Amino acid sequence: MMTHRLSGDVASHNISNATTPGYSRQRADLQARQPWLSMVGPMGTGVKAVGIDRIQDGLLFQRLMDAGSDSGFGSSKVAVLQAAQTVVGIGDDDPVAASMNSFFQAMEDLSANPSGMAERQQVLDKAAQLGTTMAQVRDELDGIRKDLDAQLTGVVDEIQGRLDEIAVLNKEVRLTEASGGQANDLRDRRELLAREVADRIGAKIFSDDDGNLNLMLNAGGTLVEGDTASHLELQPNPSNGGLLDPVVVSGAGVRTVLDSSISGQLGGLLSSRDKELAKSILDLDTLAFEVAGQVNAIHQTGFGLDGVSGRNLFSNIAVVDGAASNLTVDAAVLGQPDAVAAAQNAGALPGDNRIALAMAALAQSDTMSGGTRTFSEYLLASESDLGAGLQNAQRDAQLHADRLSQLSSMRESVSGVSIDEEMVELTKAQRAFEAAAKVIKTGDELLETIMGLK
Amino acid sequence: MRVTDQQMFSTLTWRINRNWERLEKVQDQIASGQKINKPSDDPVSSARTGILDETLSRLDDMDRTADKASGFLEATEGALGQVSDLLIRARELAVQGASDGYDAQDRDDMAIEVRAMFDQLVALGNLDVNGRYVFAGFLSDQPAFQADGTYNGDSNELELRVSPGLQVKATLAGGQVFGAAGGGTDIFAVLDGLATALETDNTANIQNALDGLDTSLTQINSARSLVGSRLDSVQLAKGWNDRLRTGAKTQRADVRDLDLGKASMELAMAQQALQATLASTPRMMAQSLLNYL
Repeated sequence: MMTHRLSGDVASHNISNATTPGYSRQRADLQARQPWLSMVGPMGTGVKAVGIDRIQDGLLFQRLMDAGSDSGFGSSKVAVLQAAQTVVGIGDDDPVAASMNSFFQAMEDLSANPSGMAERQQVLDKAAQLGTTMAQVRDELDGIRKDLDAQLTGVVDEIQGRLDEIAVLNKEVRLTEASGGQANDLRDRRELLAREVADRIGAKIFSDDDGNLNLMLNAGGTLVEGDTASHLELQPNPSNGGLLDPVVVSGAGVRTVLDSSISGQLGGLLSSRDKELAKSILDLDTLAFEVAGQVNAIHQTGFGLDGVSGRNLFSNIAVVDGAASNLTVDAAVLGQPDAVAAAQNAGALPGDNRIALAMAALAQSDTMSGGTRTFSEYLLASESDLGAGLQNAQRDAQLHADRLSQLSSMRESVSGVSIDEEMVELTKAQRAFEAAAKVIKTGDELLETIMGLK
Repeated sequence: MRVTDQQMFSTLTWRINRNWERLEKVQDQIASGQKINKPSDDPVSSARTGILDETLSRLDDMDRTADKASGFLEATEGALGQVSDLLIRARELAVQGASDGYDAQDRDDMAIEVRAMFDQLVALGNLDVNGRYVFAGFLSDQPAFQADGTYNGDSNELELRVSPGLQVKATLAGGQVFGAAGGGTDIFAVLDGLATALETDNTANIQNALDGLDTSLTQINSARSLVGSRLDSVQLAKGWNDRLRTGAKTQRADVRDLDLGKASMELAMAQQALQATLASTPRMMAQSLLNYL
């Protein structure tokens, strides 16, 4: 009777945990008792419960962790790159392309009226506007990169909390199981935590004979070993503008610095920060550097209305890094429309438009990417790269989310609780319990009959 | 395969989400009328669209400079037409002045008219379009000619870009058109000579001036035909710009614009799928052994 009562209890435990994340259904493991040798042969002695099993597929588990970390990688990347794409814009909403267009348009207008004060003022205004727009877009892209530090801190804290709990659970599982039996619910909780760690950083699981769940980074590096959880910290990387890089410090003090090659949400954040975003910013800097350099090279040879030559239109930019933030109208021409050089020859002032014409022609010259792209083609190619990065991340995220849901479904199929099934199980236990009670009653009646013999 | 309760619920929500996602995407496209709303929708096509957008805005710029170029050229053409009329009238006067049917008084009157023509010629040479003295070359901020016909400008002609990769000269240098700078005839000197000859009743010099007027007319007419051919180039360039614009717009429409018919079909399908999923979901959820125990 007690045994069947236990089966019923296990079924009701299952039902009450039907919606608990990570829960694996359990079954009372019933066995026939050791028979005794009667005169006519071995004779059954009934049933006993030898344990409560947890039903699960061990092979599925690592695959679930991998899918989780790939999906975490993709979805965190999508979130970051979507923000970047909004800054960059498309078509009419593309601020850099629009302001670059109007700058060269102003130059073209100047070529049609080289002595016009309004046209000269336009060139200065549009040049200043181009600089401001580029600086704004660059600032915002850079801001997204810097904001990621806060997100990294959050994710690292989440991982740390889970690693610590796994280490504690390792100890509890060992203690519980040392006194016999299986710590089913503790193991479920521990595996759920391991999956959550994998979502965030990508990890491999190694179980040992003592019942410990050990976690390693995919690329190597200990996360949890027995009772000891590694410590995660963030350190500034001076060669990357002081942005934070996560570091895993193992119990033995081994430091592993993580980069964009790791998986999981953390990897997605690092990868979008150090690959796509870094490239977008570099492209923008290169563009600003080249626009300033090439416009200046022509402008210097020309003459302003005051007959002075050798002036820059944009302030000289020495290095590509940060160029988009430093694109400003040079002090020598700032606020002095006269100083804009439209003329090639000092003797042909003010009607000479040849320098303005040459500067306007830069808009259509293939001067970028080794002489294969115009300024705006270069800009659009860079924006298209960002779009392609986002598209890949979206595809990856979708693919791995589907894979994850398929694997979860497979896991649910093996380990999940079906209420219908548990109801059947409960009814079965109830019937067996009733039957066992009937057996006792019958035995009792038999005994009573014997006792009645006088 | 075992189908468990959690598995069923998560599959149902996943299906509903997927259908919503599909519906939202089509809705987004229909609302904007474009297939591509973000670079990530289609990176290659979005870059293509961007380049076409830029081409179109460039063509608008070119059209505006082309309009300015034709403005200069048409004004020049008009001025040269008047010069030509003026020279024809001067030639009539010269022919009359050379004949014996007119006396000294008549010739003095003619001389006065010729002197007035001289001033008109200076005024025509100092034609000013939007503040630019078009016949003054690059020295366009001051009148091209002094009152005595001396040329103040230089020999440069203003070139403008009227179509991608095509530049057209939009002005003529007055020194060549009216003066002898290009090896031609100095029309001012011819008129001055004619006036003087009329005043002094020097028929031989009037005859000389008549020859001068003929070469002057030829000079003006060849300048007019040059202006005409430049105007033609500008018109051709504008036509070419239009063709390029149509091409770019068609391409952009192909790449970016939505086929509304197809999208409406897609919308109807997505809607239907979502409705069916929503309708079947409660039925799935209602199935349980508990209903019968």
